[in-house]
Amino acid sequence: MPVTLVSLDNENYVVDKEVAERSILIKNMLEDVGETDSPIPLPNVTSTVLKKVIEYCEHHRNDPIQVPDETDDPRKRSNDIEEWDMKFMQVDQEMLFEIILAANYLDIKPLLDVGCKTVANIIKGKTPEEIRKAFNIVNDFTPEEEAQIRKENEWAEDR
Amino acid sequence: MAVVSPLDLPEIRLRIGDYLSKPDLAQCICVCKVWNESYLPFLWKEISVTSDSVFERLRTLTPEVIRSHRELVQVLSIVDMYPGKYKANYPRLNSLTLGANLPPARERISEGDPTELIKQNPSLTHLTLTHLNVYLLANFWKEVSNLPRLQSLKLSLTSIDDESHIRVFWSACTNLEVLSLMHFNFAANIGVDSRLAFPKLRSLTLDLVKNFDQMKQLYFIRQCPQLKELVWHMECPGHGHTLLAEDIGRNLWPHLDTLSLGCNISDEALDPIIKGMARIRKLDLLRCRLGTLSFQSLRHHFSTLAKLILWECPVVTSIMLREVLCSCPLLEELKGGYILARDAVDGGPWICRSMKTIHICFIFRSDEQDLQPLIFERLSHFVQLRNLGLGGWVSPVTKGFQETLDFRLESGLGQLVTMKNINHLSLYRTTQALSEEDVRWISSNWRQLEVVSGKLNHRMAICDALENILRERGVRVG
Repeated sequence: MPVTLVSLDNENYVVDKEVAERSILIKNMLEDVGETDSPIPLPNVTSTVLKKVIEYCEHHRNDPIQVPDETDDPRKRSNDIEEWDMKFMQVDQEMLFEIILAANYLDIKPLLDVGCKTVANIIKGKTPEEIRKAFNIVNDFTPEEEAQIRKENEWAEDR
Repeated sequence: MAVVSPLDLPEIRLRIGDYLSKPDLAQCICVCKVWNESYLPFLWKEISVTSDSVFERLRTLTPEVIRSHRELVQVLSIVDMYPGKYKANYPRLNSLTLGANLPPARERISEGDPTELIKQNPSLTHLTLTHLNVYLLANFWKEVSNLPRLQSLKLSLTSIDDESHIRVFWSACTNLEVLSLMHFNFAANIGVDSRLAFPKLRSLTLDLVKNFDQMKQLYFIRQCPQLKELVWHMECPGHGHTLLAEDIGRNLWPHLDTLSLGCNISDEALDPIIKGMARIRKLDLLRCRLGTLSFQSLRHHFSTLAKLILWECPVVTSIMLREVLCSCPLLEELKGGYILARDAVDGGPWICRSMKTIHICFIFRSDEQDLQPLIFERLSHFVQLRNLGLGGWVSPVTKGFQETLDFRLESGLGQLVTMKNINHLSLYRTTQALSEEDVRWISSNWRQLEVVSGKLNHRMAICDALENILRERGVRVG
């Protein structure tokens, strides 16, 4: 059964139910209202981002639902992104951020994970100044404060 | 519309923190105040410090600096002959590991004593000690017994040097769930007071414990009725195993399903132990003589067996291992031994679909190279496999390097594309001739791969170049 999703800018997208249900938010909404053909408004997501998110959900429509594996070690890795996902994430930073926010809002955990891994990969190997520049962050430390933090945590810098 | 940055959301920052290494976290905490708040706990959650470190940088991790972050530390591991220097209350500390590379100087023993450190941290649940026997006195054990939440105590390469402290030590163990003594030495062979009970102990390791004779060890094991896991290794087999078999037969430990025994136990001695167990989930028989008799008893446990370790078991045969692979639906881990390629191919299907670790040697005769793709095909059904090792067995003929599965695309490697979770590949003690193409295939298809041990190619110059391909992707090689 198809489901209609409506973006912030009032674009309609018709997708299969199993694709829409990759989003736990939509899945719960559909469960709450039962059988319905009324469109689902997504007032936090613009059409360009929604299109992209639907592309992801279409590609991953048959993936098994993630269950946390308790035997797994808690250390997580960011260099294990699948090839298709890696290409999918080759977008400008504004789009990357919008995808992450949409994945967070729509509760699509695998997409949120890929987004966070992509940001982690941008952070890797950068100095604080390079990170600030990459994400447009203002340094609110005094030089003394920053020097103190550096000194106390210097031990962790060895690669 | 301006985009809100997801980095402004604390929950997103925390999610990203999961993927950052310590060196990267050390940069993130300097970015700005909110980043500092998010990432400092990641950096300080687990602290490892080695006092005699040759790295100048690590010396900046002084006891004072650690104490000033004490609210954040949950796991603390100290290699220092004077652990007393780190004394403080770490309010969230749950795991403490203390060790030393050298014995402390006599005049600094009072300064180095870790007793106060134990006393100040009632939140401890796990305590691990290596060496440091000079500090392990009655007072120390008294403080250990006062830790209200302690579940696990692990001691290795150490001793209790004074007879009068042994009783205090055993009293400190009565509330534990996990106790491990490895290469441990008692001052006197007085055993455990028979009035003491260990009602919560579910995992016990007695591995080469000296001055604690076999019978006294067995009496102690009898005092632990809730045991689920027993690791019992002695220098030589003895009467203890016969009595252990009798006790098991009398169902003295109704929950026991994990057993690790060593030291050349004979087929005849092993048989009643395996026969007597109500259920076996995990079995480790390092160097034991698992033969026709005890293997017959093991068959009764095929439906529950999840782990079977047979390193250096001299009489295990190819046909036995084949039967295990064809008959144990829950098997997740199989290590040690060899299978003749012909035996593997001629047998029924391998039914252990949740296999996570397999480390066995496949042996091909020179005219059997056409069997290579068939072995790869069989392995390809282990879609959950994480660890794959191929050099598990030392041939008495070649004494070491073994011609085994040929890990190349032209022999059928490509069929292992199904193994998406491979994390560790061991080619140790095998002779391989991988090419760049094979290694690139491994690198791009096994995204979870972290470690490759052994040599990818028997020619050193080629091997170095191949290893570099993997290193570039962050895989540890060697």
